[in-house]
Amino acid sequence: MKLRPEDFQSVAREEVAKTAQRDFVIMVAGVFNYLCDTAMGAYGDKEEQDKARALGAQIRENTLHNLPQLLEEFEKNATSNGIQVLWAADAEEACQLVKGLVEKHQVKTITKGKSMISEEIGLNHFLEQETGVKIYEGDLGEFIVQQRGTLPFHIVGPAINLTVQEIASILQEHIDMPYTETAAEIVSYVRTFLRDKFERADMGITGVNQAIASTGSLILVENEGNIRWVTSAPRVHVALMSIEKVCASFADAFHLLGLLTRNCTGQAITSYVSILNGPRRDDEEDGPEAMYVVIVDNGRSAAYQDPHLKEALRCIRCGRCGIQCPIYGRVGAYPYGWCYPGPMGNVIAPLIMGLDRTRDLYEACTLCGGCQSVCPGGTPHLDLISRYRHMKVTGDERFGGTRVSLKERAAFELMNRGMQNPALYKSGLKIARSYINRRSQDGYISSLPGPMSGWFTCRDFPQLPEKSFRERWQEDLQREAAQLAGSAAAQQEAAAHNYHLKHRPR
Amino acid sequence: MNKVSLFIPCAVDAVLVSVGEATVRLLARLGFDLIYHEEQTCCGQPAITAGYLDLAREAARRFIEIFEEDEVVVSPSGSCVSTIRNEYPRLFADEPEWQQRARQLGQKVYELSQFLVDVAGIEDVNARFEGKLAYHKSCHVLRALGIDRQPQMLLQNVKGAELVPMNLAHECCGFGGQFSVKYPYISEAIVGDKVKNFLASGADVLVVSDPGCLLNISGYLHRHHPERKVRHLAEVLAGTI
Ligand code: SF4
Repeated sequence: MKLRPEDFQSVAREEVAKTAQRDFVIMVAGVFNYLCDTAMGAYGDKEEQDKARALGAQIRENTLHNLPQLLEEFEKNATSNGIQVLWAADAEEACQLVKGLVEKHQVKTITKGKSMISEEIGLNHFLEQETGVKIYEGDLGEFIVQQRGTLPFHIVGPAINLTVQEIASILQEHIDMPYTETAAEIVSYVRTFLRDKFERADMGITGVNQAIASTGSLILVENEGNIRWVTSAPRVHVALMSIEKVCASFADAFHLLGLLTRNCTGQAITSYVSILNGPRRDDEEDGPEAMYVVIVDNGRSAAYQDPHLKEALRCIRCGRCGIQCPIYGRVGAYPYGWCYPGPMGNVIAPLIMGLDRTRDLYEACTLCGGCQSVCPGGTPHLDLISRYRHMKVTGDERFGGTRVSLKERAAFELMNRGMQNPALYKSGLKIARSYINRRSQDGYISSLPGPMSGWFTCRDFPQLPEKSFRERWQEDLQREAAQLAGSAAAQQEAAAHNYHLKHRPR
Repeated sequence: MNKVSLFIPCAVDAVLVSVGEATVRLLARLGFDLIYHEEQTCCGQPAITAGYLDLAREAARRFIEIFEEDEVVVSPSGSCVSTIRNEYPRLFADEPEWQQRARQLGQKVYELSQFLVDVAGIEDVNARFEGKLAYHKSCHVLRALGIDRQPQMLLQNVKGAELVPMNLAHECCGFGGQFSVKYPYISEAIVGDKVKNFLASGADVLVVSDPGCLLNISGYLHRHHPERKVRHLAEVLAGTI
């Protein structure tokens, strides 16, 4: 099934009903949060960890500040390393460029390293339709998801939501694996199956974790060795990257990667780190004959023009925000309808797919700030989400937003004005009180028709006290407070503590 | 000169009046002279989260004018304090004069436990409660204001009480204002887990420090576990559980 962000609500309803999946995801998220926190401990105490994150954020800030220059520098140095750099304005162009390379190099079989940007542009589907090549994902989780034909459930754990039985059935159906529920046997079967493809592949396609401007190098991290294989055995290697995946130096890149892996899998570093400096040279035995980097914009430079929205490009795709997010934990990846689930998708999807299509992404958020508190790139999720809500209200045409209806706006305005005007507030409260309290049983009401009805699907609401705080204050609280504060005991308290109001701005 | 100006959020004014009363009694008993500006209304948080920033700016200007002369402002709501401290300066990004006023006010607006511990230096309010307490780390208190140690310290010093750990205490309760009404099926799953963790903690009372969390969790408990209690920090400290 093709998932789309505009179907968030219906898919989320289905997913949230899968309580076993939900409990499992919450449990796994707990384990990963623990592993990541422990790994972050290598930097020191909380303060040192904050510093490490702040440095990561600073590096990303530098990248965003100098993005055009860094990309030019990268292109120049990569080109002199023998890498051909191609630019794609959007998903369509990126896919066409890769198709051109497939044809030029007469490619029959492609193996891939897990790459979010290729998911973003829908590359597998496009190439299979347009060229008839066979494409095999090299990452085990991604391979399973590819066979199943669904979106990855998490960017680093694409199949984390599937049970071993489900995985066994999928592989039995699609690659004739004899049914087994033993993980080691499954891995071994897939390994043999894929090894054959790896050996025969003409082209390897990967993403990029960081591109180094000063040397024109690419860095890729992974744990399974498939990327190493995909980038060294086939004749042609094509690396796809979005425009913001560049940084100035190796020093910058390694700080970011240290944060990336710690917040991803809780590792200090992955089992494999590949640093690629170009195609095979004459005196080398391994490596592709030709190497390409396709730099994909796909709507990012429009966001880049806006000083606030460009902050959405800070992400280094560690996936940590997802496992922190209470919404993602309950509904999983599918409702987000795109390859970037959870908070990272909430901030990038609206800019690329438009505000109207992605409305539920930035609305289905409690603004709890869990994402922001762990993000190693310094992404201001909350600010961005608030901005998207505002852009929706005002109808920001740059990003496909239609202004909210006058009726919706008028209703909100009326309520807000009422809240701000003490006299209106007082009479409004009176009306609300009698309306609500009429339905009360034992001090609570259990349903209300109209816009508030959602509250009552799982909750009650207390009836409103006959007197508001303000009224209580006027009546007797003020007097009571003065008496209490003036009592001998309170005065003693005050003297004993010797309060000095030292305003400590935070 | 121990004057404290009370900022009573609308949810407390209209619905959770007992939280406001507890705040008053607690602070008065500790010897503070309380001021309450009767013209105060909503700080504009709902308008900000709904994206109506022009309306929010109106509310913010009004709020600043009412409170800016005070020496110190205290509120039993982390999210409302965070609105003043964190959101107001952002709202006025293009109006330097108002931004300056917002910043100046923000520096003297405190969440209740933050005020008691960090400003007044009080870690023990002489409260008493026989039983076990668990503390839910309300999102805005914990992450937007960075307040974690203070409420727990105050609770630890409640005589007769034992503060017990609760799994995922730092996770959101699923309120989120409009979120709870617009996405009730997700909100339910989140608050359901919060309550599960509360029950598993063995605590008699779950303590929160934000009116939003209180409405959400108490509403859920009343429907599903009416015998269990959730209370605001101010109520526990004032001894009005
Ligand atoms: S937004 Fe931050 S936490 Fe989330 S995936 Fe990107 S870098 Fe990681």
